[in-house]
Amino acid sequence: MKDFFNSLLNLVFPPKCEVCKKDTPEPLCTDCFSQIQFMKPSLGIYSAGSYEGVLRSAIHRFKFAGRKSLATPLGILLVKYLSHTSTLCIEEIDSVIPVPLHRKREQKRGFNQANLLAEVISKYFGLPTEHALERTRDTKPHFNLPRKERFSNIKGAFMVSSRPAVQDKRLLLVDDIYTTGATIFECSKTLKLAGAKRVEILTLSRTPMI
Amino acid sequence: MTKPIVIITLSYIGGIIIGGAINLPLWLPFIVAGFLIIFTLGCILRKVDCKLLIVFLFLLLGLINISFRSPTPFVAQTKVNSSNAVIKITMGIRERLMKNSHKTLPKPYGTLLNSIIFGSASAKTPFETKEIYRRAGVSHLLVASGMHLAILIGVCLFVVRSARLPLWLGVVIVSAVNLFYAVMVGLGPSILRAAIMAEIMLLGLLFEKEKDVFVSAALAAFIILLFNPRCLFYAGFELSFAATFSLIYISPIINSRLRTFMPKAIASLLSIAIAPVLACAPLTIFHFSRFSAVGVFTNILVLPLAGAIIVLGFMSSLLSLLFLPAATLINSSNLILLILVHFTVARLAALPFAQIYLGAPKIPLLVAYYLGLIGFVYVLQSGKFPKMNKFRLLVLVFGILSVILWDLALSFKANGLNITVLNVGEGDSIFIECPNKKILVDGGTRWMGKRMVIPYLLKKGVNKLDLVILTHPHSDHVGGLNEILEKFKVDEVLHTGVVYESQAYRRFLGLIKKNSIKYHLAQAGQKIKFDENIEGLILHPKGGGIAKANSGINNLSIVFRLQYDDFSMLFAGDCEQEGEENILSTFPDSLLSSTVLKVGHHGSNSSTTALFLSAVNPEVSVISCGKNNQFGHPHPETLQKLKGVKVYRTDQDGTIVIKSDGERFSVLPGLGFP
Repeated sequence: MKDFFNSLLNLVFPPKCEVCKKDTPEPLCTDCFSQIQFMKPSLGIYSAGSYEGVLRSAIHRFKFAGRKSLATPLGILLVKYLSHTSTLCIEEIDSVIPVPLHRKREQKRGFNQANLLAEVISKYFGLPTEHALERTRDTKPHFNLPRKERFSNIKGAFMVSSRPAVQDKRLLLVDDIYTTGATIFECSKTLKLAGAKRVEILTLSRTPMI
Repeated sequence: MTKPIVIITLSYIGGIIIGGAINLPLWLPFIVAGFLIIFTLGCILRKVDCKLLIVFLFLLLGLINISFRSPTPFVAQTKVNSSNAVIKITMGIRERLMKNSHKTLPKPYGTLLNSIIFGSASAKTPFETKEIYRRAGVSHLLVASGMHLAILIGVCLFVVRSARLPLWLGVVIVSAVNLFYAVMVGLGPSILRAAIMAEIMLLGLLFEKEKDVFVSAALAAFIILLFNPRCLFYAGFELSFAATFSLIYISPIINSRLRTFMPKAIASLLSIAIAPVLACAPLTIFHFSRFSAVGVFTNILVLPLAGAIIVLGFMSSLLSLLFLPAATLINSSNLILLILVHFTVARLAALPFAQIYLGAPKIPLLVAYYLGLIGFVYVLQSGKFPKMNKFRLLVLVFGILSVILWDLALSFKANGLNITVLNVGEGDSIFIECPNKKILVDGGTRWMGKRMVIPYLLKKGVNKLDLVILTHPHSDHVGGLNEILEKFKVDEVLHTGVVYESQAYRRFLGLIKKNSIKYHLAQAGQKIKFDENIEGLILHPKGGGIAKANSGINNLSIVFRLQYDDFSMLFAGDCEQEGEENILSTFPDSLLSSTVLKVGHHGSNSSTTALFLSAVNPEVSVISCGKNNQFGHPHPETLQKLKGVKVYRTDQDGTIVIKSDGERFSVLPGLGFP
C-alpha cells in the first residue's frame, strides 16, 4: 500500500536531484555527489567536505527547505568518508551522538538534521545512536554572530541526560556544519566532564577558511 | 521525456483530437478497445514490456470520451441559484462581497474591481468594457485565473506560516481557500487549471516533494479533459494553457537573454509581457479573428498595477465582511489604481490600430507557427543556430512547402454547400456558403450579431457577403444584420420591403441607402441563382412590398427553398399558419418537399401546421431558439408533430452545420463553436 502510494507520488512529483534539478531517482544525483571532495582532518576535527558548491546547497535544501530525503545520501557521504580516513577507526567507537537542537527549535523545523545523519551512520556500522545530550538553553542562531560571541552564547547550553550512556565510552559526535567550532567544542566538553573516555568529532562540512 | 503523466496526457489529447476531427461511428471504439485488451493480455502473458501500450490506451480513452459526449458547450457555473448546497453558500458569499465593493466604490469601478477579482462572468461586466480590454490585449485581467490564485494562495500561506500552524492543517486550510475561490468564480477552464496546479503545489509542501510545473500542468489538463473533453476546443482552455506554458518555459529563456543588456526588473517585466503574446496570439486570431497590436505595451504598463489591485481587492473584500469602513479605506486607495488602469487601457484601446482583424489561420499554419516558436526558443536558449547539413535543410524546405500546400489545399475547400445555423439564442441567423458565394439570412439580435455572427464570419475568413436576406424586420432578425452591414461589404440585399416601424428596421433601411447597396424585394415565385447548381425559389410572400397579412408581420416573412441537385432545404423564416396556408395554395407539394426544414418561428405552435409539414416532408429539421427563452419555444406541440423527423436545436446542440455535396448530406452539431 505504501509502495503504491509512493509510486503515485512519484508520478505526480517526479523525483529530482535537489541540487541540480535533473530527473533522477535519488535525491542527490551521482553527478552532484561525485563533485563533493573529501577534506583532510584538521585540528582533530573530521569534516567530510568544504561548505561550498554542491555540498552547501545540499545542506541548505536539507536543513532549511526540510528535504529529509537528503539525509540518506548525506549520511552515506559521511560513511564513505569514515571508511576513507585511516586515522579515525570506527571499530574503536562505542556509540554515535548527534549534536542536539533545543526542543523548541526542533519542533519548529520538524526534525534534527544531526539526528538523521547519525542514524544513517549507526545503521551502517551497527552502532547505537545515543541521545545522551540535551540542549537546555534556546541559544541564538549562530550564523550572524561574530566568533567571540558564539563561544559565550553557547556556554553551558548542553547537559548530559543519561550518564551511563556516556561514562567510559568512546563517542562519535556528529553535526552538519563546523564553522568556529563553538557548538561542537562545548558539546565535547560537556561529554568529557560527564566521564566520556574519548570524543571524536565528525561534521558534514566545514566553512572554508578565509 | 520520462514523465509518464505528460505522456499520458499527450496521448489522451491526441485521442480527443482524432475523435473530434472525425465523426466516429459509436461502435468503432469498442472494436478497437477489444483488440487493445486482447493485445494487452498478450503482452502481460508473454511478459513483454510495452510502453507504447499506455500511449494507445489513453489515446483510446480520449477517443471514446469525446465520441460519447453530447456537444453541449461548456458553461461556467456562475449562477447564484444552484441545488448544490456548497455552491449555493459560496455564491451567496460572492454576491455579498460584490455588493460590498459596489458600496465602497463608485459605480463603474465597483464593477471593474468585481470583474478583476471574480472574473467577468460573475461580475456581469458590460460587453463594451470587455471589448475595450480585448482591444487593448488585456482581457486576461477580467478572467480570474493563475495570477489571482497565485496571489491569494501566497498570502494565505504566509498567514498560515506566521500563525505557526502544523503543516497539515495549514495545507488543509489553504486548499479549502483554493477550492472556495475556484467555485466562487465559476470553475471555468482557466481557474480549474490554476486551482489544480496550486493544489498539486500544496500537496508537494505536505509530502516534501518538489513540484514539476510541466507535470502539474499536464495533470491539470488531463483532469479537466476527463470531465469535459470538449474543453480542448475552447478558447479559454487553450489560451490558459498556452499562457501558462509560455510563462514557465518561454519567458525565463527570454528573460535570461534580455538580462545581459538591460536591468533585471525591466527584463523580467518585458519577458512576462512578451512570452504570453507569442504563445497566445495565433490562438486568439484562430478563435476571435483579431489580434491586439498594443497588447505587449498595455501589459507592461498595466500588469504591475493589476497585481496591486488584486492584493488590495482581496484584502478589502475580506475586510468588508467584518467591518465595512475598513474596506472603504482600502478601496479608496485601490480606486486610484483602478482609474489609472482603466484610463490606460481605454486610451490604448482607442488607438485606431489597436486591434487588427485577420481571417482565422488554417490548422497547418498554426502547427507550423508553434513548431517555429519552439525552434526560436531553442535558438534563444542555446544561443546559436543549429548546424545546417543537407538533410536538415531538406527537412526544413519540405516542411515549409508542405505547410504552404496544405494551406492552399484547405482554402480551396470542397465545392460543396455549407449551411450554418448559428446559435444566436432566441433569433435566427443562418450562413449559407456556396463554393463561390456567401449568403447570410438574418442576423439575430444586435447583441448576438456582435457576439456570434461577426466573430463567426471573421473566423471563416469572410470579408464580403454576396447576398444578405432579411426575412422580416423583427429585432431578433434584423438587429444583428445592422452590425453586419456596418462591418462587411455587402453586394445585394433581399427583403420584403414591408412597412414596419422600429428603430432597428429604420437603421437597416438607412444603411442600405447610405452604403448604396443594391436591393430587391422578395416576390413569391422569384428564382435566385445562389451559385452554379444551387438555386433558390421564393415561396412567400406574394406581391412584394405591398403585401398585407391579417395576423402580424411574421406572416409576411420570406420563405424560400434552396435546391442543390438532390439536396434541398426550406427556410421557413418566422412564417405562421396563415403564411403556410398561402404557400400550400400557391405551390404544389413537389416544389415544397425538402431534405431539411428550418422550422418556422423558432418552433412555436403557431407555425408548422400538419399539412405544411407533410408537404415539406423533411428528413431533418432544425430549430433556432434560445435556451430557456421566455416564449417557451420550441412548443411541445411542434415537437410532437416533428416526431419521426430528426430534430436539431440550437439551444441544445449549439451551432449546427449542414454539409452537402448535392447528393448526400451530413449534420454536424456544435463543432467547436458554441
